[in-house]
Amino acid sequence: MIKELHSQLINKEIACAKLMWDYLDVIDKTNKELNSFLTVCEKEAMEQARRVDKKIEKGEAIGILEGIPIAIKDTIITQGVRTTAGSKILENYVPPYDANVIKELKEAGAIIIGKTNCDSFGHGGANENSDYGPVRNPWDLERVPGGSSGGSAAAVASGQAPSALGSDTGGSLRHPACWCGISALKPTYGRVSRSGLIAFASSTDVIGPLAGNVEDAAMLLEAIAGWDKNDSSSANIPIEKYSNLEKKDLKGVKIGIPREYFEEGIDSSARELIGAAVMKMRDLGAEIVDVALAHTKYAVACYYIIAPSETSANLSRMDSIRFGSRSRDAKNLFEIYSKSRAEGFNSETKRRIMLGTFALSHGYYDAYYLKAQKIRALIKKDFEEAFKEADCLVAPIAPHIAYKIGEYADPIKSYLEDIYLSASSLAGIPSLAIPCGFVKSESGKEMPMGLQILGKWFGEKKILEIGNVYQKNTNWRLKIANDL
Amino acid sequence: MIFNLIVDLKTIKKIANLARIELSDEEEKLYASQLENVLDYFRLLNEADTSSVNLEESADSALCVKMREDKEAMDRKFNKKMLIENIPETENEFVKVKGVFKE
Repeated sequence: MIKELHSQLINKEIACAKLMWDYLDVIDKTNKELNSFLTVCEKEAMEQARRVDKKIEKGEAIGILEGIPIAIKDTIITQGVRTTAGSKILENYVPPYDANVIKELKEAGAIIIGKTNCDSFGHGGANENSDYGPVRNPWDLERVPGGSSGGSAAAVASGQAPSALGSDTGGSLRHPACWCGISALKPTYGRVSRSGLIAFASSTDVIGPLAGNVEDAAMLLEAIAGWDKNDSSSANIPIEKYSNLEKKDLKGVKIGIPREYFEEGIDSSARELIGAAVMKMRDLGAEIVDVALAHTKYAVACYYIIAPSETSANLSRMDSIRFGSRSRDAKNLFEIYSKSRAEGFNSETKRRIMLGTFALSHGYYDAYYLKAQKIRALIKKDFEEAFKEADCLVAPIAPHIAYKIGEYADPIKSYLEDIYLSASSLAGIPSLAIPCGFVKSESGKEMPMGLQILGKWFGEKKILEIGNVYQKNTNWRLKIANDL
Repeated sequence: MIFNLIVDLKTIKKIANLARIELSDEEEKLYASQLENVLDYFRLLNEADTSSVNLEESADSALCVKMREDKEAMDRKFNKKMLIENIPETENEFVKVKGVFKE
């Protein structure tokens, strides 16, 4: 898609201003129903589009991402453009600087078309926990799109934007990609700078691209990856030519199937589709091997101790002193904190902060947080061992298709949905989410289902190659979301 | 060892205080019961044998915390107006809050 758009621009088949106008028009017609965008940058986007047109008119060369509209999840700060993290407490927050990934995208000439809705602070897997209303799935408006990058995924799936950025702490790029039928890449922890990402869990947070296909995701990764001196957790490892995807088949590729991920809990329709995808990969030349990830059953509990602990620390800066919405009822300094936070945080955020505060508190730190970190080391070792037997692992993303808005109100029930996502987040490995089929829901609508290809640390190139080969030999990505 | 914990109102009040979040009476009861359920789920972690794990050794060498020199590190120049615009209450460009010292 991006390659085609770029070619149309340089061949003067379409003006950038017209391209931008068309996308803004789709947003205008569909955003009320989808609720995917919280802020649309119409004026700035059109201005930048016109600037690209002037360059093309003058015969100047433009980069592959130049003039391409991109939607940005509202947990990523954009200078001068309101950024809410999906929370009321940042309702009027206007960042004074750009996140590093935004700086990189601007240098590449990409145009930010708007900020997308998300679960507040990333707290959720269905985009029902946004303080600005839920995002709806473009394939069935009664259903959730997945989260927490639900707005970004819905935007790409519905044609509101050809590309987007999201973030993934415990599955938040992969989950909505799966349920919206698009491609997304969760990079290795440290591959992309987190500077300017409103923090959820500092030890697992990553920023990654969402797009209509693997090639586009690879192009976007190439633009945003790299060491950043403002993020000491960013890795000083060379940026590969991720977009140079040349493999035509999977000969010589060993694909590992983690047996614990297919034992129980997965819907038969999801299992069938992923099974069929694995068979397709075998037909394309891959060798399929069975691997074990013995500590899988502890991953969700481990994640739900570590992530809330880290978020409780990170969100302590939301104190309404230098920024954030301040309560009008505060009678003293303590109440400025306690009432502003009570009013500005929703129940899921409060729940996670309290869970984390508890797990880190005196008397409980060893039993909970430290124990979870030790189990995390074992989970990481599971992947190290598995990658001795296979080049990558193929796994489900979700046990079933997107559920109806409001169906999963119980917190534990929704946490258990992360079963296939938590371990890889804790280990920090990269994962590519791609569509692998459709399942008919009870209402008769075709709902997307996807799978993830998990790779070795900093092995994004390999999983992108493998995903691209599978995608070039299947048609799932070409179906358009149709419930609008 | 994760024990079978009962999250009573005293515990919830203490946590809410530490987290600086004011809770209503209904919220205290609701979160106490939800927290108890989640903590009960965490007990399965007791099954995992972590005796062989040495956390210092398993820290990632590629991403180890790097120290820098103690001098100005930021290369960003901030627009003062943009910074001040985000402050909820100001007086003469100062951040304004309720009194720190009690009467």
